Amino acid sequence: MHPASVFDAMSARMAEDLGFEMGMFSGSVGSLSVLGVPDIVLLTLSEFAAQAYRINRAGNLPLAVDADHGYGNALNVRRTVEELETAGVVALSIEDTDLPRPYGTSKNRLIPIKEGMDKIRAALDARQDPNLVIAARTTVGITPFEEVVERAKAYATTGVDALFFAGMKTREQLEQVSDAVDLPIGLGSTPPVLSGDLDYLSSKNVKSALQGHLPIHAAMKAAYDTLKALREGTPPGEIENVAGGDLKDMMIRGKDYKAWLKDFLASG
Amino acid sequence: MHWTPRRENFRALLEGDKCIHPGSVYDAMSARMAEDIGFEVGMFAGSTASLAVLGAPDLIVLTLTEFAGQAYRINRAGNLPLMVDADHGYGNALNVKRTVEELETAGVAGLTIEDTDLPRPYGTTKPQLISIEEGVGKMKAALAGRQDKTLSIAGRTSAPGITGIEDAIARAKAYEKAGVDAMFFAGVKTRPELEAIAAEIKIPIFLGSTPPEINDTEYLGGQNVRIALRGHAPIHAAMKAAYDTLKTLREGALSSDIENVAGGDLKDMMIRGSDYKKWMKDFLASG
Repeated sequence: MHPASVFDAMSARMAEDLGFEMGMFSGSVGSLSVLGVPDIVLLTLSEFAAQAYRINRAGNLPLAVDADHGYGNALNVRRTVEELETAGVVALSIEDTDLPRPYGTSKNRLIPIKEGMDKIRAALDARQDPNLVIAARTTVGITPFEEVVERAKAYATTGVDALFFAGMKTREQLEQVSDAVDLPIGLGSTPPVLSGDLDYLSSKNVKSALQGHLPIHAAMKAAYDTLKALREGTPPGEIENVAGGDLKDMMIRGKDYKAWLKDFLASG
Repeated sequence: MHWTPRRENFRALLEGDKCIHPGSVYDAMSARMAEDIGFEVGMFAGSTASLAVLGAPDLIVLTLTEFAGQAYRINRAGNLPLMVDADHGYGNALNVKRTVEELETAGVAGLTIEDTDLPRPYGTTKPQLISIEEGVGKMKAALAGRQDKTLSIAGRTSAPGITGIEDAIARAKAYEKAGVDAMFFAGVKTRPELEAIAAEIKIPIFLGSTPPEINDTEYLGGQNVRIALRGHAPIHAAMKAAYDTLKTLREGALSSDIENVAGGDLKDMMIRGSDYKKWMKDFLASG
């Protein structure tokens, strides 16, 4: 399946209403929605967990989150799992990229496999609700592909629930990892050769394939265009493409509040 | 962060002779958009905050902590002077004082405290006002909570649509006497109503929704109106755009088929990408 990329309470409700089985809240989107900053791990764990909580409390959509590198070393990973479990996520991934970017480097690099395994073990150790899914995440394209397979196999030995790959480019790559490990697979950006063919992906044990993070970018453009039109003198009544009463009422769960006002406040 | 310069900019606008329309903002990126596009002031409303933080109706279910947290996210994103609608101050006069302390720390340039009886009292269906005496106490508490004297504190009343213009004027005069910097009126509908108000108070006037009859910035400026809101279309546009995008994807479109999303240039502007590129080079020997 394709999860919906969500970023706040209302987008999570939209995804749930539209029938998405799962929402995905990524680190890059967290950086955008909370701070408006690039995806370079400036967002704190507290901020990320709080936004995840805002999303989770808005409805019942299962939410998977990209917890980046777990905000530090393996001990910070433990803390990350505790906070995100409390915030209500159903799944989270911990990645083996060396983050935040080390001094003097211009390209992403990976931590040693042993450190990656220990971070996953720390994540599993911190989990209190055994139903919380923990995935190990690694990035394709930084090291030779054989190492990706090696990392996948190593992480699988920790008892992790799933593997998540960013940057998978070809069917051959996917088949190599799905042959090597017997764990559910999640994919980050899915190139055309992989996206749009859910049957093929299912046959390779891929359970979740992201389709980018368009919703927040659509919201960004819409807000920009609207502010620009207003600033250029367009009267508010002539602004098009804004949520009308029906959509807004659905997003704020207006009917619930109407009932509660009547039931509990003798109002309305 | 150092908030005083933007508060001084906001005060300069209040002391000027023009009426401006603030940009309705609700998060870090919308605040940057408003600043880049040339708005002098951003407006962060209680209703918009309820939407942005909780997706809840404008019924005061948002907490002060959540509101101040979102205001801080907005303020830290740039230098736009931000005016916020602090509703009733989240309780009684002591809660008003706390509200001012939190919002001052969060960096707002101006805030309003209103005299509506909130949250909605049991058994009522229409908004009602607290007594003028209680309103005066709340205004005094707000002023006592301020540490940076450049922070603007405005009284706000919805009396024009609830108890009438005479009561609105009586309230405004009482709050002006208590020392507020400006007076915000919701529900002013006609020019005679506005002119009656403007004749009686000396402090700058803010207006909520402005119906067509009075929506003329030159006229408004002449009536001592310094700020006139124009609804909260940006967050509603974002809501519709996100909904349409999710719907199209769910119906089977490929990512590459989706139109009307922020491209690289707009996104790079919103995340201040060129700053980060420079900082990575300067401080991380990277890139």
